[in-house]
Amino acid sequence: MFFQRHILCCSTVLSLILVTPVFAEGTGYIFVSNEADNTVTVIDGKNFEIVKIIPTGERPRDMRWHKNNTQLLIAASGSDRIEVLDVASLEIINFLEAGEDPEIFSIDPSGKILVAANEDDNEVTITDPDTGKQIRTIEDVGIEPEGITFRNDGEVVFVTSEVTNTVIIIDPWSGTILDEVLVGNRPRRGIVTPDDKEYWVTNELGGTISILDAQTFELIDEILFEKPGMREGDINPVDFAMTADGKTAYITLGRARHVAIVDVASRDVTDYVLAGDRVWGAALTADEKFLVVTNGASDDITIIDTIKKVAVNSVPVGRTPHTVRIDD
Amino acid sequence: MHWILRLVGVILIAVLTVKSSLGNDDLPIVTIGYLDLIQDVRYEDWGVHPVDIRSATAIVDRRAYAGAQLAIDELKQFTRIAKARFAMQRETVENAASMIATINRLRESGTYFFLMDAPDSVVGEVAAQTRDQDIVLFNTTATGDALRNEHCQQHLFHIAASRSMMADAVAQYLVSRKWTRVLVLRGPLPEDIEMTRAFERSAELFGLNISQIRDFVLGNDPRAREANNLNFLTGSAKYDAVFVADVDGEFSLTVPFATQKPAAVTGASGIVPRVWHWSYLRHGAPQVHGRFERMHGRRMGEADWGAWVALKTIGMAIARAKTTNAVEVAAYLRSDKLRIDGSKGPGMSIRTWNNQLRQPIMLTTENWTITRAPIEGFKHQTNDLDTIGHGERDTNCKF
Repeated sequence: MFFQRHILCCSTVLSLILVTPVFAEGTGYIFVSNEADNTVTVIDGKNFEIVKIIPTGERPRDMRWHKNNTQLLIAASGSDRIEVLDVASLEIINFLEAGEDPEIFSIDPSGKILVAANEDDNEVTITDPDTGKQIRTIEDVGIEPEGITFRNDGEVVFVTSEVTNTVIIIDPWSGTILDEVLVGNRPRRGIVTPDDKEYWVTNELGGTISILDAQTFELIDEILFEKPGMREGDINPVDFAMTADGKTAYITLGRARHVAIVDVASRDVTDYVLAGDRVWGAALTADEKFLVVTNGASDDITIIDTIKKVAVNSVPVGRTPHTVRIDD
Repeated sequence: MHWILRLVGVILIAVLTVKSSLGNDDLPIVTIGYLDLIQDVRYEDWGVHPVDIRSATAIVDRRAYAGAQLAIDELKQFTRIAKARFAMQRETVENAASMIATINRLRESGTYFFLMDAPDSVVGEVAAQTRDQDIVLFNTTATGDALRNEHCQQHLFHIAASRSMMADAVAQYLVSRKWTRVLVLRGPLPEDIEMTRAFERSAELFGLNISQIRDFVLGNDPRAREANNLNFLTGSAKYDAVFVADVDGEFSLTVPFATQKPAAVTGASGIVPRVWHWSYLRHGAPQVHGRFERMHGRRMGEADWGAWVALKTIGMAIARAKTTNAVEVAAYLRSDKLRIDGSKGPGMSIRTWNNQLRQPIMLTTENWTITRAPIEGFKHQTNDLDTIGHGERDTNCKF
């Protein structure tokens, strides 16, 4: 009897592992920036084995795809630069200037400009991602600017300011500030719905999401996360992933160790899925069957099956994993 | 021709509206009074290392005003959303009476918000004498429990943590480490007696066993060795930890690693409860330290943090409550809508029963933050932060 149960348990584990590798196209690699280790861990999405640990500048944080996924740009905050990783060779091939202490950044849909938040200088720096030349800086963007999100039409950028509890909307092409909106407490990251109608921002300290009209910049709604057993102070929403059809959003909840799944149209929180400690970075696979999240306080990533809505695997990476990107 | 003029007019109006919605010149100015004392023993004597007392270079200005300066600089960034500009006027005065006179004078010229960096007695007297005024006072550094209980005032908000909050934080930590037998060494100052009383309350609350309370004195007189020699002070008693109540701070320097039994030292030295310590690495704390250090060239201390949070609270409350009226702002501070971000974790708010800021307490060494209280596992039915300090049921405060 014991033996039987043993087999059953292991076959379940096996089937989980067999189900997981659907990382098609591209290299199928998962890239994780380890903020406290100054490395990027590259993991094979098929077997979850580590392919390479790439040394980077200090405090690698946000990462973005560039040039059709042939380059992965990595913000090395402590080294005041953005590093260019060649995905084919897994080597750092160039550095870009992006002001002091770049943390979160984003590239416009046409690939012409890179906008980075410089947390310590309360500035936003705009850089040409190909030449690495600094185009301009925009001052006066609150205190501790963090989240940088382009509207899909590329015309405006939403910048979150953690200390002033605001979202500052800028025109990155002219360098002007268009508006500023008070949202929840300690706004962190944003996402724009694919139809360009709404901008969502996580409020880490408020345990909420504020929703702005992405065209008029008016505050139109708020989502509160609450679940029996989760303390208000532990619910720290940080990062997003959204399906391409704009129907489902995944939000990492930090110390609450869960990922919330939200139906975008109704704003209903449909599920909470268990992940690791201080879960924050998030990325979906191209087929949207798996969500990969970084756990900042348990030094690993969790792979979540989005159909079964359950964690199916976790993989140890470096210290304080920050951002995850998947090349598939 | 007319239509061109009209078009120019429309453009002009459009430009003006955009400018006035983003420009600052026509916004009201909120002036915050900053009140401290010419002589304050807490900065001149307490906690000053004996070597530093003789040193010409090691003495640094530790006053909370440095934190207020950082905050007032940061409040410039609140202008657009608060629809107000912020200014600060510092008045360094002789005593409580002159502080009251200063408040009355500033109130006449339209100042309604005041930060106070003064000891318990001064804060208590000033608050009692101004209780009928439409002003709001923020206590940034006074830690006495009486101010939050029998001497509480409705217009006085406590950003500084109370002695009971500090004692509760220590007690939770000792319990979590299972260091439950505690020897207390008590200094001669009234503050030491009060700190000991606060710790006795915490011990009872969290199940610590105080094996003995022993009074110490500073000195080398062999006739008083029971009270000035650590061999005697820490001998012949059973304990896992030693709690030192010593607001002056000189005696407590000598206690860690010098007890008769191997024991953790806490209170005034060893594991020290603080509202803020520069070694904390999470929740955006390093960013705040960075800004403070770039401005002042020294570490950010507890008093600095208190003044910084007080001003930030005023700025954010004005922005969120959409008013600069002090009475309305005070009502907002007491509402359940308020969340203040002090860069040390959970959103902070005001306890309605005594106007105390609920906040985590850091348990620190000289160069490390060991953990924060509330310690994991200490739960409260509404807010875990209320496991430290006087709760709604055990407060003596009546507004």
